[in-house]
Amino acid sequence: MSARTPEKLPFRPARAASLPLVVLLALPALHVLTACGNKGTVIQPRTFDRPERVAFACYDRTANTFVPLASCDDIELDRDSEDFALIALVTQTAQGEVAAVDLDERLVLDADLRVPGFTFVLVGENPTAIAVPALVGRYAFVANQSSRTISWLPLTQFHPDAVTNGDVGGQLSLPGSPSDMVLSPAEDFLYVALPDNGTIAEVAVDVSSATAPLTFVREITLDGTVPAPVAAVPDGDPYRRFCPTGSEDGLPHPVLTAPRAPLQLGATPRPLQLTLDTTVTPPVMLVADANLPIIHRLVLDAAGADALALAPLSPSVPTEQVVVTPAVPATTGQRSATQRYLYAIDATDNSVLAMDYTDGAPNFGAVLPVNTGHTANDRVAMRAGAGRLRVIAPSYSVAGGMAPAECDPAVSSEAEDARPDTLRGVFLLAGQEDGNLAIVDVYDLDAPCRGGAACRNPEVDSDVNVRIERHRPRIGTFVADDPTLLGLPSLSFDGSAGQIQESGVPSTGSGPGLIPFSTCPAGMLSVFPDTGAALVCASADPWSSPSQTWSGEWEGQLPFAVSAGRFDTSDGTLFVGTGVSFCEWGVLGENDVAASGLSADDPLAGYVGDRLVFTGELIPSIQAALDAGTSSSFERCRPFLDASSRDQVYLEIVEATDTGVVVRLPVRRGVNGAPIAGMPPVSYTLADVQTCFPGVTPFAVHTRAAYLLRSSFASFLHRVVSVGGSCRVDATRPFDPADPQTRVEGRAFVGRAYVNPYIAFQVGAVRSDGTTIGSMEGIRSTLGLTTRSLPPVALIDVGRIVSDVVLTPNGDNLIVIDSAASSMAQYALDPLSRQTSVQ
Amino acid sequence: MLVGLLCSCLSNPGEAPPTGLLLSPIATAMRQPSSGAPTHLLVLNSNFNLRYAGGSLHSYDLDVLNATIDAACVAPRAGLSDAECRETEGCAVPEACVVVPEQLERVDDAGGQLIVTTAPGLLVGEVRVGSYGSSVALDAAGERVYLGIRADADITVVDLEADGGLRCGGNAGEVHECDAAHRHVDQTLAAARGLSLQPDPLGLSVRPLADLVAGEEGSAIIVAHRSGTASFLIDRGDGLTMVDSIDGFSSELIAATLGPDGAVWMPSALSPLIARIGVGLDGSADIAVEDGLLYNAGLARVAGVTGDGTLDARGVAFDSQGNTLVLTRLPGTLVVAQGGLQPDGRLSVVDSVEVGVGPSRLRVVTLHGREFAFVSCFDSRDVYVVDLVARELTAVVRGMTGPFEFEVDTVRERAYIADFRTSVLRVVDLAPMLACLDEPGVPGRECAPQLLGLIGRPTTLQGGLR
Repeated sequence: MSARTPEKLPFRPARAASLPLVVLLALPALHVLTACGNKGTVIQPRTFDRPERVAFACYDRTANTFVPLASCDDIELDRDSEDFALIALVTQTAQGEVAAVDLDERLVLDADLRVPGFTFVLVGENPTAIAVPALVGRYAFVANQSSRTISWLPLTQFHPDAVTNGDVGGQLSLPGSPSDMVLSPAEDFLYVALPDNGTIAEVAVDVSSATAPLTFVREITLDGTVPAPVAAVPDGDPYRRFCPTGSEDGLPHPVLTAPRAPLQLGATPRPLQLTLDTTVTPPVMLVADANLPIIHRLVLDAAGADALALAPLSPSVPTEQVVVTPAVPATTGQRSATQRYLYAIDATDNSVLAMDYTDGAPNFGAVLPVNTGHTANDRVAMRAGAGRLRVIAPSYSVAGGMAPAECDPAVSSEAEDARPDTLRGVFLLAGQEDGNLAIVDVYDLDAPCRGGAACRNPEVDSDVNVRIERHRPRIGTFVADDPTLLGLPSLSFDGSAGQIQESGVPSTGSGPGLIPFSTCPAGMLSVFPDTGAALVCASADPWSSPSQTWSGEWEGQLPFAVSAGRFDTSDGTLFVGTGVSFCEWGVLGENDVAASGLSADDPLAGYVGDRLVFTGELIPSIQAALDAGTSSSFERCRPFLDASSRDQVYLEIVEATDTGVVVRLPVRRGVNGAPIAGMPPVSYTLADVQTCFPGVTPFAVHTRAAYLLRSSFASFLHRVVSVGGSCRVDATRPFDPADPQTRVEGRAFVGRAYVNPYIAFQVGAVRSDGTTIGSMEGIRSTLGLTTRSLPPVALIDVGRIVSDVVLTPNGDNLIVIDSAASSMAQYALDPLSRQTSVQ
Repeated sequence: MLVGLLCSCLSNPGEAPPTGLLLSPIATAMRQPSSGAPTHLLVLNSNFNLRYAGGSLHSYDLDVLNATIDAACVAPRAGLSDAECRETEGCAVPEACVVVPEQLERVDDAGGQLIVTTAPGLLVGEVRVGSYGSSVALDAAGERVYLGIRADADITVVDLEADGGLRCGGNAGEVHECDAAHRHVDQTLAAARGLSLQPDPLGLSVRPLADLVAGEEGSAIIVAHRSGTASFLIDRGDGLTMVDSIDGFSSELIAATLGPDGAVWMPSALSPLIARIGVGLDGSADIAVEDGLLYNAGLARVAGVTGDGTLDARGVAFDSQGNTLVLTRLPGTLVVAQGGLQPDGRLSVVDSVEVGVGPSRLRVVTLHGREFAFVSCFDSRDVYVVDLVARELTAVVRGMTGPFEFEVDTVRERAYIADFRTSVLRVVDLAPMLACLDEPGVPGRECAPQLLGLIGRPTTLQGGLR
């Protein structure tokens, strides 16, 4: 780390040691004013530089000393200059420093008044973790990744007014690069994750020492034996609060499935992150392993850590972070806190899994089903990958095995405070890679008051549709409306716009309409029309089924199924792609459908296979030959010459494999796909195509005699997998006609109900004038509709990258660190609102 | 008189850039033999402020460069602190230790603030090219240099001699201006199909023609144009010929990187979709190169990085584990995506590593058996080094004013960073960082890469790159 070269200036008065936030915010504005006319790039001066982690200390303003953290338990962060000040120590990874912020006064503290600007305390290269003993306010410990050290820093360095006590800072060498560090509850050991070594370093702490508070003890080897995953079993009523009463009955529910086969990213343990479970005696340290599908558990006692006393957990995937909840009641209306849960970030895709961590429970150690829809049922329904997890428990504590009393809807003063944006209870916070902070419900003390007693007469009129369920993202607003459709569905047909009326008939043209359902499929509600028989049904599940726009195109292109390929030189019907994966795209040939052994009522039964559409222009030498007007063997290619206006050049796919497709010349087909008599749909031959598109040529894959459905959220749904290299409908995802969750399908057929986990409709096979549609060869038809689902989940738009999120020690405020925006934000929880931020 | 002045201004072709002068260096390339250390560093000077009639391409001998830096900047400072160095005759702190080629005239020492060393044999080739250069790429043999020149709205080709000399219509031993034949792409073939070369070439990707058609000699060049178009050029050693172009991609394409999948990836500053294109030739000899057409190989979608789905991507690279790395400007992050594309075109993002402000260029290198991503951050004026195994920040190189393009010399363990704003090359020693990784846990040791000295006379430039 290149050190600063401070310019010595006259000593400044103490009041200048810290700048109020308003002044900090005003500085850039002043800079802009003074730079008027300068066209150069303006670099905003910053105090923070890539902040990552935060810890707390308590400062006694009267004695000008740091004191035990408990002294700050009663202070409120309201800028009233109480006797004690809560100080946040924030690592600055770009500079290798630790900054101090007075959270009460909302001031960034200058560690060295002699240096212009804000000076922070230097530590080592790339500080990755910070710990401050709470019992004695004397030192802060910082683990430095690049320099592989732990710095110990006298807390007096962090406040310009602190009385120095002779303590000196120093560094302890580590045998590897630390990624995380925690202080044991007794504050007698530091535990440091050393991922490259596959070990945990144990460091003895003696805060009474003025010169050498840290002593390296040992490296703890972790066992790399992968335990068998635990299969989840049905386990009582789920924790939920739904209004109106009975609305939960119409929702899809997470389905139990067999645990995933264990997957590992490396051969040896790679401990990445540490979490302390201090609710048990002796405390337990949980270790996320980024290589192996193991969550290690070490018992912490007076002699140090014991890695053998407890069996590890098997999440089936390597993990990057793990957190645990305190004990919570199993259901609303109970106070006995019996259930515990563990959340972890899957290192393979940054999704979040939930495990039962209730000691002795049948599901202890099992990854739980927590999701519905087409995405994995064993992952929390989040819109982006997670980078940071934290369990918070504001206004919650367990005493004698009992949780605090829940909100009483009969007490108006309590009920009116029960809001979606008030956090009282136990919640998982997940910093997402998209810069949002997601809130996941675990136990909401206010749940019984939401929607009113017995879901009647809520304190807030719009608090009608209440959806609170354990392991599900929190719904962020009051909701009065049911899911609906935005505007009218459209079904264009052969040039007619085709807006579908409530009768199901298009407003113009003679195209087909939508056919009503007698009842919506299970778990769905009618979203169009408002009254009468349902023409469009949609899932009422707000977590897995957000608002989304669906578009369908008759014989449309499979999304992203574009590339290039060439005809095999020895087999003219085999077309081999370049860098393709036909099966992953969802491509099917007629023979693949037949070989998949589908039941007669499977939506894909009888499908005639997709089409291979040639999208490229003729190669220059053929174009030149045709332009020259010479009679040549390429004259047959003239119909293909104008790539922008020619009729589509395509072949039907008979068989599809990972790398290629067997094709044939198209035949005329009826609206249901069956061959029919009449003019062939194309005038070229297979030989024409082979001759005119030699070498590698671009292509796209389209459906045949079916609408291609895709949505803004779910994209194109399909069940196609590779079986021995051949594309097949996945037999491991059995189809249940009564369960939309099993109908993962993106092809819709005329005259047959189309149902997927999110939406259902049926395009009729009869025109509005009553005539039957025989064939749709050459006809363009598109379908469009937009659902407005139940409310959006609660997200805090933090900014860019949530590197840390933590409650203040007294649980009153939330501190969020955004490393990319170099900011620290402070939130109130009751209700959730941003109070201030520091950059 | 006014008319006379106006006429003289309008007809004045401008002054040629002084020989040996670094002039808003915008792009770099390094000739790397099949074994051993790289031999020459190529630097494209953009003449960003149009002070001169055009830009230039420099070729530096890396043996001479490093030996001079060692002798002039490193050795005198051995064992001295910066303060002690300032008090020692002949010793210069890195920011003040300046090495210039002997061809550069009128070099002052800024009133004694700089210690300037003239290095014979440092600059071994220079040719004059158009202004607003954007990119440099070398062919596989290290004998032909391709330059994207925005002022020409064209591509320039320069021969690189074994000794580092440059030739584009003149003698390699003399500074000369590239002639028209070397500053132009023959578009006859493409024009027959109504195609023309688009302006604003911003990214170049070069590979051997033999990769596309067996037995062919020469290079295939893919050019990414700002307008959202890509062009396919070939060079058999007798000049550049345009074969095809493909459009319809998002505008502000700013780079072209050949991926392990054979497609050229072109990120855009305006879209979360990274364009991927291929050439319709697969290495067999049955189709002529001139029949090779570009095709859309499928868009790669970067999802879940920003809350609103937007993305300002500035570069793409690939590591040895098959991960795709995407450098994004807002937020300033290095996005790590596991494996290739998902069936729906999405990149499976597994990590976002924060870097500095205004990330600009990305390089992946292996040092001491460990893979790192180097990221230059123009606005925060530093270069971030990310450990790709741990996906953690390893070090930050500071003390620059406008780092943009750079090269990493893995043999000498040094980086050569073109500082656009100050018009110098900054030579940086990576050994401290590597020593800390190899020998961990030495308290108090400096682990950040260290600036050793400057190549070129520092010259301030107002404004900058976006």
